[in-house]
Amino acid sequence: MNRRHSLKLIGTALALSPSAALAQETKGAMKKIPSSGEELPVIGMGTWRTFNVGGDTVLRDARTEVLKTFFANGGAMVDCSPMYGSAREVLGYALRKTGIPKTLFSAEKIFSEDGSATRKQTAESAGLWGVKTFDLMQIHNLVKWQEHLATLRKMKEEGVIRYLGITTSHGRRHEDLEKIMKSEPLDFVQLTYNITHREVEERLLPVAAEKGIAIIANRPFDGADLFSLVKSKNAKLPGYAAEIGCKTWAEFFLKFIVSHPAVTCAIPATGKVAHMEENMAARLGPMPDEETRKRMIETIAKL
Amino acid sequence: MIEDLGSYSVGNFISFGDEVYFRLFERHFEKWWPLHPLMLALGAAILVLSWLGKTRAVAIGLAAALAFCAVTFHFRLYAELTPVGKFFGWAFLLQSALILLWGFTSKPIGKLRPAVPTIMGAGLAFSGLAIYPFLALGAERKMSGAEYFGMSPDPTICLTLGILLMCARPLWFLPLLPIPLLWAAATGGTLDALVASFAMALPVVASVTVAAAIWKAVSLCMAASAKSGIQSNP
Repeated sequence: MNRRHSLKLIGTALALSPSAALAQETKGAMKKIPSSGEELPVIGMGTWRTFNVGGDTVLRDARTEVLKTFFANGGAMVDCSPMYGSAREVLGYALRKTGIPKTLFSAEKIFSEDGSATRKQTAESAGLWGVKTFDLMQIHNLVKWQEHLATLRKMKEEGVIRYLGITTSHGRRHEDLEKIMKSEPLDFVQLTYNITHREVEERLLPVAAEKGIAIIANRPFDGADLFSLVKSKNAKLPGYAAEIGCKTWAEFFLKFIVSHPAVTCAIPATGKVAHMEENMAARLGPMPDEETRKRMIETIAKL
Repeated sequence: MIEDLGSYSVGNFISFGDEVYFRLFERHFEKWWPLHPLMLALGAAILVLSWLGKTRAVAIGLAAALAFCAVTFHFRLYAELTPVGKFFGWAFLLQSALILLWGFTSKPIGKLRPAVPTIMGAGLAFSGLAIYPFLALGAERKMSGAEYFGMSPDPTICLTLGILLMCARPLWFLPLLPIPLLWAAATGGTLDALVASFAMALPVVASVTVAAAIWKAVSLCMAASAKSGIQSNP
Protein backbone atom coordinates (compact mmCIF):
# COMPACT_ATOMS: atom_id res chain seq x y z
CA MET A 1 0.00 0.00 0.00
CA ASN A 2 1.60 3.29 -1.06
CA ARG A 3 1.33 6.69 0.66
CA ARG A 4 -1.22 8.06 -1.80
CA HIS A 5 -3.35 4.98 -1.34
CA SER A 6 -3.12 5.25 2.46
CA LEU A 7 -4.16 8.89 2.41
CA LYS A 8 -7.15 8.08 0.24
CA LEU A 9 -8.25 5.32 2.61
CA ILE A 10 -7.89 7.64 5.60
CA GLY A 11 -9.81 10.36 3.78
CA THR A 12 -12.66 8.01 3.04
CA ALA A 13 -12.66 6.71 6.59
CA LEU A 14 -12.97 10.27 7.90
CA ALA A 15 -16.43 10.44 6.41
CA LEU A 16 -17.36 7.99 9.18
CA SER A 17 -15.21 9.53 11.91
CA PRO A 18 -16.50 10.33 15.44
CA SER A 19 -16.76 14.02 14.50
CA ALA A 20 -19.47 13.11 12.06
CA ALA A 21 -21.16 10.80 14.56
CA LEU A 22 -23.78 13.27 15.76
CA ALA A 23 -25.01 13.97 12.27
CA GLN A 24 -25.05 10.27 11.50
CA GLU A 25 -27.25 9.56 14.54
CA THR A 26 -30.15 11.36 12.91
CA LYS A 27 -29.26 11.39 9.25
CA GLY A 28 -27.58 8.02 8.95
CA ALA A 29 -24.15 7.30 7.60
CA MET A 30 -23.26 8.87 4.28
CA LYS A 31 -20.21 8.43 2.07
CA LYS A 32 -18.79 10.51 -0.70
CA ILE A 33 -18.61 9.51 -4.33
CA PRO A 34 -14.88 10.06 -4.89
CA SER A 35 -15.21 11.45 -8.41
CA SER A 36 -17.63 14.23 -7.39
CA GLY A 37 -17.74 14.54 -3.62
CA GLU A 38 -21.52 14.04 -3.69
CA GLU A 39 -22.74 12.14 -0.63
CA LEU A 40 -24.75 8.95 -0.73
CA PRO A 41 -26.45 7.02 2.07
CA VAL A 42 -24.43 3.87 2.76
CA ILE A 43 -27.47 1.62 2.33
CA GLY A 44 -29.09 1.48 -1.08
CA MET A 45 -31.62 -0.95 -2.53
CA GLY A 46 -31.11 -3.81 -4.98
CA THR A 47 -33.95 -5.32 -7.01
CA TRP A 48 -32.58 -8.71 -8.17
CA ARG A 49 -35.32 -11.31 -7.71
CA THR A 50 -37.40 -9.15 -5.36
CA PHE A 51 -38.90 -6.72 -7.90
CA ASN A 52 -39.43 -9.21 -10.71
CA VAL A 53 -43.10 -9.83 -9.90
CA GLY A 54 -44.57 -9.45 -13.41
CA GLY A 55 -48.11 -8.16 -13.63
CA ASP A 56 -49.08 -9.35 -10.14
CA THR A 57 -50.80 -6.28 -8.68
CA VAL A 58 -50.84 -7.73 -5.16
CA LEU A 59 -47.05 -8.11 -5.19
CA ARG A 60 -46.56 -4.84 -7.10
CA ASP A 61 -48.36 -3.01 -4.30
CA ALA A 62 -46.32 -4.90 -1.70
CA ARG A 63 -43.09 -3.84 -3.42
CA THR A 64 -44.38 -0.27 -3.56
CA GLU A 65 -44.61 -0.34 0.23
CA VAL A 66 -41.03 -1.62 0.39
CA LEU A 67 -39.85 1.27 -1.80
CA LYS A 68 -41.88 3.74 0.27
CA THR A 69 -40.20 2.43 3.43
CA PHE A 70 -36.81 2.76 1.77
CA PHE A 71 -37.35 6.42 0.93
CA ALA A 72 -38.99 7.14 4.30
CA ASN A 73 -35.83 5.89 5.98
CA GLY A 74 -33.54 8.11 3.96
CA GLY A 75 -32.75 5.70 1.12
CA ALA A 76 -31.45 7.06 -2.18
CA MET A 77 -29.72 4.56 -4.48
CA VAL A 78 -31.99 2.09 -6.26
CA ASP A 79 -30.21 -0.37 -8.54
CA CYS A 80 -31.77 -2.41 -11.34
CA SER A 81 -30.95 -4.12 -14.63
CA PRO A 82 -32.60 -5.21 -17.88
CA MET A 83 -31.53 -8.71 -16.83
CA TYR A 84 -33.95 -8.68 -13.88
CA GLY A 85 -37.09 -9.69 -15.78
CA SER A 86 -39.96 -7.31 -15.08
CA ALA A 87 -38.10 -5.44 -12.27
CA ARG A 88 -37.69 -2.19 -14.24
CA GLU A 89 -41.39 -2.09 -15.07
CA VAL A 90 -42.33 -2.88 -11.46
CA LEU A 91 -40.00 -0.14 -10.22
CA GLY A 92 -41.75 2.25 -12.60
CA TYR A 93 -45.11 1.16 -11.17
CA ALA A 94 -43.86 1.71 -7.60
CA LEU A 95 -42.28 5.07 -8.41
CA ARG A 96 -45.53 6.28 -9.97
CA LYS A 97 -47.32 5.38 -6.74
CA THR A 98 -44.73 6.83 -4.35
CA GLY A 99 -43.78 9.76 -6.51
CA ILE A 100 -40.16 10.29 -7.43
CA PRO A 101 -38.35 11.86 -4.48
CA LYS A 102 -35.57 14.36 -5.09
CA THR A 103 -33.25 12.08 -3.15
CA LEU A 104 -33.60 9.19 -5.64
CA PHE A 105 -30.24 8.11 -7.01
CA SER A 106 -31.20 5.95 -9.98
CA ALA A 107 -28.69 3.28 -10.93
CA GLU A 108 -29.33 1.17 -14.04
CA LYS A 109 -27.31 -1.17 -16.18
CA ILE A 110 -26.67 -1.88 -19.82
CA PHE A 111 -27.04 -5.57 -20.52
CA SER A 112 -26.67 -6.24 -24.22
CA GLU A 113 -24.37 -8.15 -26.53
CA ASP A 114 -25.08 -5.43 -29.09
CA GLY A 115 -22.40 -2.86 -28.43
CA SER A 116 -24.39 -0.18 -30.24
CA ALA A 117 -27.49 -0.61 -28.07
CA THR A 118 -26.29 1.59 -25.18
CA ARG A 119 -28.44 4.66 -25.84
CA LYS A 120 -31.46 2.63 -26.95
CA GLN A 121 -31.43 0.45 -23.84
CA THR A 122 -30.86 3.45 -21.57
CA ALA A 123 -33.91 5.17 -23.08
CA GLU A 124 -35.96 1.97 -22.81
CA SER A 125 -35.05 1.58 -19.12
CA ALA A 126 -35.78 5.26 -18.41
CA GLY A 127 -39.21 4.80 -19.98
CA LEU A 128 -39.92 1.76 -17.82
CA TRP A 129 -38.79 3.51 -14.63
CA GLY A 130 -40.62 6.70 -15.56
CA VAL A 131 -37.52 8.88 -15.18
CA LYS A 132 -35.94 11.23 -17.69
CA THR A 133 -32.51 9.70 -17.32
CA PHE A 134 -30.29 7.93 -14.82
CA ASP A 135 -27.81 9.15 -12.25
CA LEU A 136 -25.62 6.13 -12.79
CA MET A 137 -25.41 3.80 -15.78
CA GLN A 138 -23.32 0.65 -15.37
CA ILE A 139 -22.17 -2.05 -17.76
CA HIS A 140 -23.62 -5.29 -16.47
CA ASN A 141 -21.12 -8.11 -15.92
CA LEU A 142 -18.58 -6.55 -18.31
CA VAL A 143 -20.72 -7.54 -21.32
CA LYS A 144 -19.32 -5.72 -24.43
CA TRP A 145 -17.75 -3.27 -22.02
CA GLN A 146 -15.43 -1.52 -24.51
CA GLU A 147 -18.26 -0.49 -26.85
CA HIS A 148 -20.74 0.42 -24.10
CA LEU A 149 -18.14 2.32 -22.09
CA ALA A 150 -17.23 4.49 -25.07
CA THR A 151 -20.88 5.45 -25.54
CA LEU A 152 -21.47 5.97 -21.82
CA ARG A 153 -18.51 8.31 -21.72
CA LYS A 154 -20.08 10.41 -24.49
CA MET A 155 -23.43 10.31 -22.70
CA LYS A 156 -21.79 11.56 -19.53
CA GLU A 157 -20.13 14.41 -21.42
CA GLU A 158 -23.49 15.32 -22.92
CA GLY A 159 -25.08 15.30 -19.44
CA VAL A 160 -27.40 12.42 -20.31
CA ILE A 161 -26.08 10.46 -17.33
CA ARG A 162 -24.17 11.76 -14.31
CA TYR A 163 -21.94 8.80 -13.52
CA LEU A 164 -20.76 5.65 -15.26
CA GLY A 165 -19.59 2.34 -13.95
CA ILE A 166 -19.16 -1.36 -14.47
CA THR A 167 -20.41 -4.36 -12.52
CA THR A 168 -19.61 -7.94 -11.70
CA SER A 169 -20.96 -10.37 -9.14
CA HIS A 170 -20.23 -13.70 -7.46
CA GLY A 171 -16.49 -13.00 -7.65
CA ARG A 172 -16.35 -13.41 -11.43
CA ARG A 173 -13.81 -11.87 -13.81
CA HIS A 174 -11.90 -10.00 -11.14
CA GLU A 175 -8.68 -9.94 -13.15
CA ASP A 176 -10.44 -8.31 -16.10
CA LEU A 177 -12.19 -5.89 -13.79
CA GLU A 178 -8.93 -4.88 -12.13
CA LYS A 179 -7.39 -4.13 -15.53
CA ILE A 180 -10.39 -1.99 -16.47
CA MET A 181 -10.30 -0.14 -13.15
CA LYS A 182 -6.63 0.65 -13.67
CA SER A 183 -6.94 1.69 -17.29
CA GLU A 184 -10.35 3.38 -17.62
CA PRO A 185 -11.76 6.36 -15.73
CA LEU A 186 -14.78 5.00 -13.85
CA ASP A 187 -17.05 6.62 -11.27
CA PHE A 188 -18.44 3.39 -9.84
CA VAL A 189 -17.67 -0.31 -9.68
CA GLN A 190 -20.23 -2.79 -8.41
CA LEU A 191 -18.98 -6.10 -7.06
CA THR A 192 -19.80 -8.81 -4.57
CA TYR A 193 -18.55 -8.15 -1.05
CA ASN A 194 -19.84 -9.58 2.19
CA ILE A 195 -18.51 -11.03 5.41
CA THR A 196 -17.89 -14.49 3.92
CA HIS A 197 -16.78 -13.31 0.45
CA ARG A 198 -13.93 -10.89 1.03
CA GLU A 199 -11.63 -11.65 -1.94
CA VAL A 200 -12.03 -8.09 -3.19
CA GLU A 201 -10.23 -6.77 -0.10
CA GLU A 202 -6.98 -8.06 -1.58
CA ARG A 203 -6.84 -6.15 -4.84
CA LEU A 204 -10.06 -4.55 -6.09
CA LEU A 205 -10.91 -2.42 -3.06
CA PRO A 206 -7.37 -1.03 -2.77
CA VAL A 207 -7.39 -0.25 -6.50
CA ALA A 208 -10.76 1.49 -6.11
CA ALA A 209 -9.41 3.59 -3.23
CA GLU A 210 -6.31 4.46 -5.20
CA LYS A 211 -8.17 5.37 -8.38
CA GLY A 212 -11.01 7.19 -6.61
CA ILE A 213 -13.76 4.80 -7.69
CA ALA A 214 -16.94 4.43 -5.65
CA ILE A 215 -17.78 0.86 -4.69
CA ILE A 216 -21.27 -0.61 -4.59
CA ALA A 217 -21.38 -3.94 -2.75
CA ASN A 218 -23.94 -6.41 -4.10
CA ARG A 219 -25.04 -9.69 -2.51
CA PRO A 220 -24.44 -8.29 0.99
CA PHE A 221 -26.16 -11.30 2.55
CA ASP A 222 -24.67 -13.75 0.01
CA GLY A 223 -28.16 -14.26 -1.39
CA ALA A 224 -29.86 -15.25 1.82
CA ASP A 225 -27.14 -17.74 2.74
CA LEU A 226 -25.81 -15.68 5.65
CA PHE A 227 -29.23 -15.70 7.32
CA SER A 228 -29.54 -19.43 6.64
CA LEU A 229 -26.14 -19.91 8.27
CA VAL A 230 -26.95 -18.09 11.51
CA LYS A 231 -30.40 -19.67 11.61
CA SER A 232 -29.07 -23.19 11.10
CA LYS A 233 -26.58 -22.66 13.94
CA ASN A 234 -29.22 -20.96 16.09
CA ALA A 235 -26.63 -18.21 16.53
CA LYS A 236 -27.32 -15.16 18.68
CA LEU A 237 -25.77 -11.76 18.02
CA PRO A 238 -22.48 -11.44 19.90
CA GLY A 239 -22.33 -9.13 22.93
CA TYR A 240 -20.23 -6.50 21.15
CA ALA A 241 -22.93 -6.10 18.45
CA ALA A 242 -24.80 -3.74 20.77
CA GLU A 243 -21.70 -1.53 20.96
CA ILE A 244 -21.94 -0.93 17.21
CA GLY A 245 -25.68 -0.44 17.31
CA CYS A 246 -26.70 -3.79 15.83
CA LYS A 247 -30.01 -5.23 16.91
CA THR A 248 -30.36 -7.69 14.01
CA TRP A 249 -28.13 -9.88 11.91
CA ALA A 250 -29.03 -7.76 8.87
CA GLU A 251 -27.50 -4.71 10.55
CA PHE A 252 -24.48 -6.76 11.60
CA PHE A 253 -23.78 -7.96 8.05
CA LEU A 254 -24.42 -4.57 6.45
CA LYS A 255 -22.35 -2.58 8.94
CA PHE A 256 -19.46 -4.90 8.29
CA ILE A 257 -19.59 -4.08 4.58
CA VAL A 258 -20.11 -0.34 4.66
CA SER A 259 -17.51 0.18 7.38
CA HIS A 260 -14.81 -0.79 4.90
CA PRO A 261 -13.19 2.52 3.96
CA ALA A 262 -13.27 1.80 0.24
CA VAL A 263 -16.94 0.76 0.11
CA THR A 264 -19.42 3.50 -0.72
CA CYS A 265 -22.67 1.61 -0.22
CA ALA A 266 -24.31 -1.79 -0.06
CA ILE A 267 -27.48 -2.66 -1.97
CA PRO A 268 -29.48 -5.35 -0.15
CA ALA A 269 -32.66 -6.51 -1.92
CA THR A 270 -35.84 -7.42 -0.10
CA GLY A 271 -39.52 -7.84 -0.77
CA LYS A 272 -40.57 -7.24 2.83
CA VAL A 273 -41.14 -3.94 4.62
CA ALA A 274 -39.86 -5.31 7.95
CA HIS A 275 -36.61 -6.41 6.32
CA MET A 276 -36.23 -3.03 4.63
CA GLU A 277 -36.54 -1.35 8.03
CA GLU A 278 -33.83 -3.66 9.40
CA ASN A 279 -31.59 -2.93 6.43
CA MET A 280 -32.01 0.83 6.73
CA ALA A 281 -31.27 0.70 10.45
CA ALA A 282 -27.72 -0.30 9.49
CA ARG A 283 -27.11 3.37 8.55
CA LEU A 284 -27.64 4.47 12.12
CA GLY A 285 -25.38 4.41 15.17
CA PRO A 286 -21.67 3.74 15.40
CA MET A 287 -19.80 1.80 12.74
CA PRO A 288 -17.33 -0.98 13.57
CA ASP A 289 -13.67 -0.02 13.65
CA GLU A 290 -10.94 -2.21 12.19
CA GLU A 291 -10.58 -4.25 15.39
CA THR A 292 -14.32 -4.88 15.60
CA ARG A 293 -14.43 -5.84 11.94
CA LYS A 294 -11.90 -8.59 12.68
CA ARG A 295 -14.05 -9.81 15.57
CA MET A 296 -17.07 -9.86 13.26
CA ILE A 297 -15.20 -12.05 10.76
CA GLU A 298 -14.14 -14.42 13.55
CA THR A 299 -17.70 -14.60 14.89
CA ILE A 300 -19.04 -15.79 11.54
CA ALA A 301 -16.06 -18.04 10.80
CA LYS A 302 -16.61 -19.90 14.09
CA LEU A 303 -20.22 -20.80 13.22
CA MET B 1 -21.99 -13.56 -23.06
CA ILE B 2 -21.09 -15.98 -20.29
CA GLU B 3 -17.39 -16.66 -20.40
CA ASP B 4 -16.93 -18.59 -17.15
CA LEU B 5 -19.96 -20.84 -17.32
CA GLY B 6 -18.52 -23.24 -14.74
CA SER B 7 -18.93 -20.64 -12.00
CA TYR B 8 -22.69 -20.40 -12.54
CA SER B 9 -25.39 -22.44 -10.84
CA VAL B 10 -29.02 -22.81 -11.90
CA GLY B 11 -29.93 -20.33 -9.18
CA ASN B 12 -27.94 -17.60 -10.93
CA PHE B 13 -30.45 -17.73 -13.80
CA ILE B 14 -33.59 -17.67 -11.66
CA SER B 15 -34.53 -14.01 -11.54
CA PHE B 16 -37.58 -14.34 -9.26
CA GLY B 17 -38.30 -15.54 -5.74
CA ASP B 18 -40.46 -18.41 -4.48
CA GLU B 19 -43.26 -16.05 -3.39
CA VAL B 20 -43.56 -14.70 -6.94
CA TYR B 21 -43.41 -18.13 -8.56
CA PHE B 22 -46.09 -19.69 -6.37
CA ARG B 23 -48.28 -16.61 -6.76
CA LEU B 24 -48.44 -17.52 -10.48
CA PHE B 25 -50.60 -20.54 -9.60
CA GLU B 26 -52.85 -18.44 -7.36
CA ARG B 27 -53.27 -15.86 -10.12
CA HIS B 28 -54.02 -18.63 -12.63
CA PHE B 29 -56.58 -20.06 -10.23
CA GLU B 30 -58.24 -16.65 -9.77
CA LYS B 31 -58.44 -16.19 -13.53
CA TRP B 32 -59.69 -19.62 -14.58
CA TRP B 33 -61.71 -21.10 -11.72
CA PRO B 34 -64.06 -23.10 -12.06
CA LEU B 35 -62.36 -24.65 -15.07
CA HIS B 36 -60.21 -26.78 -12.76
CA PRO B 37 -62.77 -29.57 -12.03
CA LEU B 38 -63.50 -29.78 -15.76
CA MET B 39 -59.78 -30.23 -16.49
CA LEU B 40 -59.59 -32.92 -13.81
CA ALA B 41 -62.55 -34.66 -15.47
CA LEU B 42 -60.74 -34.41 -18.81
CA GLY B 43 -57.64 -35.95 -17.20
CA ALA B 44 -59.68 -38.80 -15.75
CA ALA B 45 -61.29 -39.38 -19.13
CA ILE B 46 -57.86 -39.46 -20.82
CA LEU B 47 -56.70 -42.08 -18.32
CA VAL B 48 -59.73 -44.32 -18.96
CA LEU B 49 -59.57 -43.82 -22.74
CA SER B 50 -55.88 -44.72 -22.73
CA TRP B 51 -56.61 -47.97 -20.98
CA LEU B 52 -59.31 -48.65 -23.57
CA GLY B 53 -56.87 -47.84 -26.38
CA LYS B 54 -58.78 -44.88 -27.83
CA THR B 55 -55.68 -43.25 -29.33
CA ARG B 56 -57.29 -40.32 -31.16
CA ALA B 57 -59.47 -39.24 -28.27
CA VAL B 58 -56.47 -39.46 -25.92
CA ALA B 59 -54.35 -37.38 -28.31
CA ILE B 60 -57.02 -34.69 -28.60
CA GLY B 61 -57.44 -34.50 -24.82
CA LEU B 62 -53.71 -34.32 -24.08
CA ALA B 63 -53.06 -31.82 -26.89
CA ALA B 64 -55.85 -29.57 -25.60
CA ALA B 65 -54.49 -29.65 -22.03
CA LEU B 66 -50.92 -28.93 -23.16
CA ALA B 67 -52.01 -26.08 -25.44
CA PHE B 68 -54.16 -24.54 -22.70
CA CYS B 69 -51.22 -24.73 -20.31
CA ALA B 70 -48.91 -23.17 -22.91
CA VAL B 71 -51.16 -20.19 -23.58
CA THR B 72 -52.65 -19.45 -20.17
CA PHE B 73 -49.67 -20.27 -17.97
CA HIS B 74 -46.42 -20.06 -19.95
CA PHE B 75 -47.19 -17.21 -22.35
CA ARG B 76 -49.50 -15.13 -20.14
CA LEU B 77 -47.89 -15.57 -16.71
CA TYR B 78 -44.50 -17.25 -16.63
CA ALA B 79 -43.17 -15.22 -19.57
CA GLU B 80 -43.69 -12.05 -17.48
CA LEU B 81 -40.88 -13.23 -15.22
CA THR B 82 -38.46 -14.94 -17.58
CA PRO B 83 -37.87 -15.62 -21.29
CA VAL B 84 -37.93 -19.31 -20.34
CA GLY B 85 -41.71 -18.91 -20.09
CA LYS B 86 -42.02 -18.03 -23.76
CA PHE B 87 -39.61 -20.82 -24.73
CA PHE B 88 -41.67 -23.44 -22.94
CA GLY B 89 -44.90 -21.91 -24.25
CA TRP B 90 -43.74 -22.76 -27.76
CA ALA B 91 -42.32 -26.11 -26.60
CA PHE B 92 -45.67 -27.11 -25.09
CA LEU B 93 -47.48 -26.09 -28.29
CA LEU B 94 -45.01 -28.19 -30.28
CA GLN B 95 -45.60 -31.11 -27.92
CA SER B 96 -49.32 -30.64 -28.40
CA ALA B 97 -48.87 -30.83 -32.19
CA LEU B 98 -46.61 -33.89 -31.91
CA ILE B 99 -49.18 -35.68 -29.79
CA LEU B 100 -51.92 -34.95 -32.31
CA LEU B 101 -49.62 -36.28 -35.03
CA TRP B 102 -49.05 -39.39 -32.94
CA GLY B 103 -52.77 -39.84 -32.34
CA PHE B 104 -53.85 -39.46 -35.91
CA THR B 105 -51.06 -41.10 -37.88
CA SER B 106 -50.10 -44.14 -35.83
CA LYS B 107 -52.13 -47.27 -35.62
CA PRO B 108 -54.54 -47.37 -32.70
CA ILE B 109 -52.81 -48.73 -29.62
CA GLY B 110 -55.70 -51.07 -28.86
CA LYS B 111 -56.88 -52.18 -25.43
CA LEU B 112 -53.93 -52.30 -23.07
CA ARG B 113 -52.69 -55.37 -21.27
CA PRO B 114 -51.53 -55.00 -17.69
CA ALA B 115 -47.74 -55.18 -18.20
CA VAL B 116 -45.45 -53.60 -15.59
CA PRO B 117 -44.54 -50.40 -17.58
CA THR B 118 -48.20 -49.93 -18.45
CA ILE B 119 -49.20 -50.13 -14.80
CA MET B 120 -46.35 -47.75 -13.88
CA GLY B 121 -47.54 -45.35 -16.56
CA ALA B 122 -51.08 -45.52 -15.21
CA GLY B 123 -49.70 -44.83 -11.73
CA LEU B 124 -47.80 -41.78 -12.91
CA ALA B 125 -50.79 -40.49 -14.85
CA PHE B 126 -52.97 -40.95 -11.77
CA SER B 127 -50.37 -39.07 -9.69
CA GLY B 128 -50.48 -36.12 -12.07
CA LEU B 129 -54.24 -36.09 -11.78
CA ALA B 130 -54.95 -36.77 -8.12
CA ILE B 131 -51.77 -36.38 -6.05
CA TYR B 132 -50.20 -33.24 -7.53
CA PRO B 133 -52.87 -30.82 -6.26
CA PHE B 134 -52.11 -31.94 -2.69
CA LEU B 135 -48.38 -31.24 -2.96
CA ALA B 136 -49.18 -27.56 -2.44
CA LEU B 137 -50.83 -28.36 0.89
CA GLY B 138 -47.86 -30.53 1.85
CA ALA B 139 -45.61 -27.55 1.08
CA GLU B 140 -47.84 -25.30 3.25
CA ARG B 141 -49.05 -23.32 0.26
CA LYS B 142 -52.61 -22.10 -0.24
CA MET B 143 -55.04 -24.54 -1.89
CA SER B 144 -55.79 -21.78 -4.43
CA GLY B 145 -52.11 -22.10 -5.38
CA ALA B 146 -52.40 -25.85 -5.96
CA GLU B 147 -51.31 -27.25 -9.30
CA TYR B 148 -53.88 -29.10 -11.43
CA PHE B 149 -53.67 -31.15 -14.60
CA GLY B 150 -54.29 -29.00 -17.66
CA MET B 151 -53.84 -25.78 -15.66
CA SER B 152 -50.23 -26.01 -14.47
CA PRO B 153 -47.27 -27.51 -16.34
CA ASP B 154 -45.98 -30.01 -13.76
CA PRO B 155 -49.09 -32.18 -13.29
CA THR B 156 -49.86 -31.88 -17.01
CA ILE B 157 -46.43 -33.23 -17.90
CA CYS B 158 -46.69 -35.88 -15.17
CA LEU B 159 -49.94 -37.22 -16.64
CA THR B 160 -48.55 -36.93 -20.18
CA LEU B 161 -45.47 -39.00 -19.29
CA GLY B 162 -47.69 -41.62 -17.66
CA ILE B 163 -49.90 -41.86 -20.75
CA LEU B 164 -46.86 -42.09 -23.04
CA LEU B 165 -45.52 -44.91 -20.91
CA MET B 166 -48.81 -46.74 -21.32
CA CYS B 167 -48.41 -46.48 -25.12
CA ALA B 168 -47.76 -49.87 -26.67
CA ARG B 169 -45.54 -48.60 -29.49
CA PRO B 170 -42.05 -47.73 -28.35
CA LEU B 171 -40.92 -46.11 -31.60
CA TRP B 172 -43.70 -43.55 -31.39
CA PHE B 173 -43.11 -43.07 -27.73
CA LEU B 174 -39.53 -41.77 -28.06
CA PRO B 175 -40.03 -38.54 -30.11
CA LEU B 176 -42.66 -37.47 -27.60
CA LEU B 177 -40.28 -37.66 -24.64
CA PRO B 178 -37.72 -34.79 -25.04
CA ILE B 179 -40.01 -31.82 -24.28
CA PRO B 180 -41.55 -33.37 -21.13
CA LEU B 181 -38.07 -34.40 -19.94
CA LEU B 182 -36.72 -30.91 -20.65
CA TRP B 183 -39.53 -29.33 -18.64
CA ALA B 184 -38.95 -31.83 -15.82
CA ALA B 185 -35.31 -30.74 -15.65
CA ALA B 186 -36.23 -27.05 -15.84
CA THR B 187 -38.91 -27.18 -13.17
CA GLY B 188 -36.73 -29.33 -10.90
CA GLY B 189 -33.83 -26.88 -11.24
CA THR B 190 -36.09 -23.89 -10.66
CA LEU B 191 -37.83 -25.30 -7.59
CA ASP B 192 -34.53 -26.51 -6.18
CA ALA B 193 -33.02 -23.03 -6.60
CA LEU B 194 -36.08 -21.61 -4.84
CA VAL B 195 -35.53 -24.13 -2.02
CA ALA B 196 -39.11 -25.31 -2.55
CA SER B 197 -40.61 -28.48 -1.10
CA PHE B 198 -41.07 -31.40 -3.51
CA ALA B 199 -38.62 -29.78 -5.95
CA MET B 200 -37.61 -33.17 -7.27
CA ALA B 201 -41.15 -34.53 -7.76
CA LEU B 202 -41.25 -34.14 -11.55
CA PRO B 203 -37.58 -35.11 -12.13
CA VAL B 204 -38.33 -38.33 -10.19
CA VAL B 205 -41.38 -38.94 -12.39
CA ALA B 206 -39.21 -38.33 -15.47
CA SER B 207 -36.53 -40.73 -14.20
CA VAL B 208 -39.13 -43.43 -13.52
CA THR B 209 -40.50 -42.91 -17.05
CA VAL B 210 -37.07 -43.27 -18.65
CA ALA B 211 -36.27 -46.37 -16.56
CA ALA B 212 -39.62 -47.96 -17.41
CA ALA B 213 -39.20 -47.06 -21.09
CA ILE B 214 -35.80 -48.77 -21.17
CA TRP B 215 -37.26 -51.80 -19.42
CA LYS B 216 -40.08 -51.85 -21.97
CA ALA B 217 -37.70 -51.57 -24.94
CA VAL B 218 -35.43 -54.33 -23.60
CA SER B 219 -38.42 -56.58 -22.93
CA LEU B 220 -39.71 -56.05 -26.46
CA CYS B 221 -36.26 -56.80 -27.94
CA MET B 222 -35.94 -59.96 -25.89
CA ALA B 223 -39.43 -61.05 -26.86
CA ALA B 224 -38.67 -60.42 -30.54
CA SER B 225 -35.37 -62.28 -30.25
CA ALA B 226 -37.00 -65.25 -28.56
CA LYS B 227 -39.71 -65.30 -31.23
CA SER B 228 -37.17 -65.32 -34.08
CA GLY B 229 -35.20 -68.05 -32.28
CA ILE B 230 -38.31 -70.26 -32.09
CA GLN B 231 -39.09 -69.62 -35.75
CA SER B 232 -35.57 -70.44 -36.93
CA ASN B 233 -35.46 -73.59 -34.82
CA PRO B 234 -36.41 -76.66 -36.99
